[in-house]
Amino acid sequence: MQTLLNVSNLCKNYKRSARFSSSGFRKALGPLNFTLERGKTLAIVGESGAGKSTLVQIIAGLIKPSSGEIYVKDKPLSTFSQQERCTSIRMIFQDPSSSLNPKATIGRILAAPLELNTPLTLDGRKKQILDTLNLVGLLPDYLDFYPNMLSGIQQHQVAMARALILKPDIIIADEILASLDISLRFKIVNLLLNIQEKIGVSFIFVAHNMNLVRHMSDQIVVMENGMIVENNTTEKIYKFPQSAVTKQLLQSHQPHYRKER
Amino acid sequence: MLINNEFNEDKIQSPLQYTWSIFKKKSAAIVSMWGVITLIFFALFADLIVAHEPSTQYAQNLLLPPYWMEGGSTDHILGTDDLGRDSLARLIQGLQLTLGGGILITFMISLIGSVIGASAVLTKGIKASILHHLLDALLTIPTLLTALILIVLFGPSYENCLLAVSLSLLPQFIRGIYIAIENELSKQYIIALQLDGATNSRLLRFGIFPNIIEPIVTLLNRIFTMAVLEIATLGFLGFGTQLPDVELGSLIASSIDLIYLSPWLVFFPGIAIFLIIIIFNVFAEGLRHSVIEGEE
Amino acid sequence: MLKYLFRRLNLLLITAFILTVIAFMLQHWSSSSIDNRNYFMLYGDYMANIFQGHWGISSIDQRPLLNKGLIAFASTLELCFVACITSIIMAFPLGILAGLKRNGVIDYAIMSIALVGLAIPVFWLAIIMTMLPNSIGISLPVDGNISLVFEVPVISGFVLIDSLLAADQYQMRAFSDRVAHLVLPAVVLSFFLTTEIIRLTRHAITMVMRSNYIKAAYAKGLATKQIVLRHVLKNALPPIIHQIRLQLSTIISFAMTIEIVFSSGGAGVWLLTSIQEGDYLALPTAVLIISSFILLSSIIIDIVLMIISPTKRKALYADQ
Repeated sequence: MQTLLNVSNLCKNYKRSARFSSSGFRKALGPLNFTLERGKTLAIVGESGAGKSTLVQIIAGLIKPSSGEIYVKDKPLSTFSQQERCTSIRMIFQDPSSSLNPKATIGRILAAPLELNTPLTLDGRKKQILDTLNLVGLLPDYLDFYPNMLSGIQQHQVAMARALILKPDIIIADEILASLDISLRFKIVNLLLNIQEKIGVSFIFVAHNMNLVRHMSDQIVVMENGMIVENNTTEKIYKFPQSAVTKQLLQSHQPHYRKER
Repeated sequence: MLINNEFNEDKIQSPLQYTWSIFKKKSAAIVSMWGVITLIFFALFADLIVAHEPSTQYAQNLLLPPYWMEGGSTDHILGTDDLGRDSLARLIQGLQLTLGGGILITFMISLIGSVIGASAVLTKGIKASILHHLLDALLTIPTLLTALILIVLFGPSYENCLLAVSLSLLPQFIRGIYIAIENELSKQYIIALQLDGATNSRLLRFGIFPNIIEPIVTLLNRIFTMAVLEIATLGFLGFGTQLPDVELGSLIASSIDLIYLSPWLVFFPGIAIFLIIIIFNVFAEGLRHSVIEGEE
Repeated sequence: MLKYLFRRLNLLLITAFILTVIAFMLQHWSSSSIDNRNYFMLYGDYMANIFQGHWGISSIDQRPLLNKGLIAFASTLELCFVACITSIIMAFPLGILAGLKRNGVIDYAIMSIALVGLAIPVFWLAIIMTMLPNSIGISLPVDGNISLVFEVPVISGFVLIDSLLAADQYQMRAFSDRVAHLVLPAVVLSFFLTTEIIRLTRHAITMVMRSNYIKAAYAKGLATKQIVLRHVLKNALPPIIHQIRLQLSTIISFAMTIEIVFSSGGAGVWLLTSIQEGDYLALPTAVLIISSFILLSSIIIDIVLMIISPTKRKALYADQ
């Protein structure tokens, strides 16, 4: 099977004293190496401040890496045009209520990436939008709605639709589950797994909740202080955690203290 | 279908329609809106409305008081000045120049300032830094001083007065819009739009400007108020319009010697400036509140 | 902390440089002498003169411009200062009241007054005020700095202080005469300032009152008065001061206009007469004096703000 994503020697250093105003609070990242297969799910876990968000932002193209390269289908990402990048990697943001433009209708929000990155005609776009809405389980009626008229979970579905609409190979989800309560979390997770089964997209999750990670992912990357401390299949990580961080993370989600009955 | 079609129109309004529907319910805002329309109408069609030519001198009617005072005449509703010119006609001519100047300045500043401010935000680095320091320096020179410098350089005239006022207000506007756009740039939906591959112009058009209407209204209101006040102040100091044109400030200056003889010649232009600013401020405030309520 | 000071100093130097360039260009234009050397040399000469205190000679009365400008500006500053103090005393309680009783009758009344204050042109109000003593029958001087009978020697430039220093000559008569001359201009200026501060205070107070720590304070059982004194003021003050800092140049502009109406010798009258008499060198002098005052005081206010408010201190560490 072809390796979809190959991160090789990725580094991000922050210039310390280029200007005397900058302070050295941000830590450097990397060098990082890992790969992701098509149709698989990678979870990135670690304590806050471990560099998870920076890593996915680099992959999504929000931050430029200092050195190293990311290969998508054996092609370096730095040679991609904006359009190629958009159609291969998309990102779902943490909080949909702030990542959806409050002054644009759902239809507009979904049409924008199509207008910018595909040669589709108006009818083609319309069909694509309806298909994607169907995929994430929303009715076409919502197209004329503004984001603030939707419930939290519907906003999540719209955010997913925006990521899916360009039929990307990889979707990055930055802690999207944190703001939802348990029942809705499972709904979203199942929806995502369902979509993965249907169209064979790969996911990169940044996550906190280890139980959900176990449920969703095929592979786990554990990070600490900007470095990868463990990278293995989900099965192995859960059964034989190697590093202290991993053990700690696993433990914190298996409460010792339970209410006596 | 999820939505019953009969209620469809009620439910989904564009932000503009929604804001308008809130604005409609505020009586003060609506009154001030008609006030604004009336003022602009006066400023545009002043020549058609007034019964007397502003420069015609009625030698038999010098220093006539307003008609409700003793000795007033309904021929000259607000009386006449020391040369027998109709006060109302001169007032409306003055209104034309002051208000027209204020609106023109606000319009020009919002155009130029938005372009400079937006491009400064989007092109980070040395250019933006230079702009910042230049603005900082310009902001420390008081408006009156800027105006005096320009007028000394180019001579006193109405156009130069407008230029001076615009130049002194432009940095304030650029600074304001720069901060507004920069705040907006860090929002996630803007980052999401950037990831969609949106060009800068598209980002500004759909992502940023619809979301900074409220600060822009506040800013424009502020600029307009200061513009009117400064045009009048410069006119009063004799650096604005030159005779025979009059402007509300110069109208006050020309009648200041007559303040004990016929104080209304000083009163009325001042009240006119006062009304202009009150009406526009109430209007802007109503608009701002509607926008805020619309966003909640 | 040091880093922050350094950054502010850096900003100060760059801005000051731009200001001197502006002043230099004005100077070069107004002296209109033909000099074949390039601009860099001329600018260097100009700056050397500035630092040695040779700011030029007034063409009206042959006195040094720096001296004249400083004395004139001191009188303007005095007016600003007096007006600031009175308006702060008046505006704070009103603004706090309006902010606490937001959307009540009191709020609307206070805010209407504030709007009226913004809309009245200062020079017009000043003219009306010159009529006031006459029409209500009180005796207050309406022009000049101080009656001409008093020959107060210029020591600090601030007439209030100088007239106090001259007490052995005139007892307190000179001082009280100065105060009487200051009343009306100060009333006019503080009318504008009061409305401005009321608005800022109300805005800042409402912002603070919305936050959760105020709700927590209420839940703790504190009385409104205690909450205002302990929590609200401390948090509302920095944004108010910051906004007033941004308005310094407007305040000085207005003060100059008011002085012209009351024909009391300050920066406004000085500039006006200089321009009318063709002494254009007064302009670069004024730019340097007034702008450097505004620049320095803004930076001092910035530093003070940073010391008193912990949220601003965060900016020290921010990666900008």
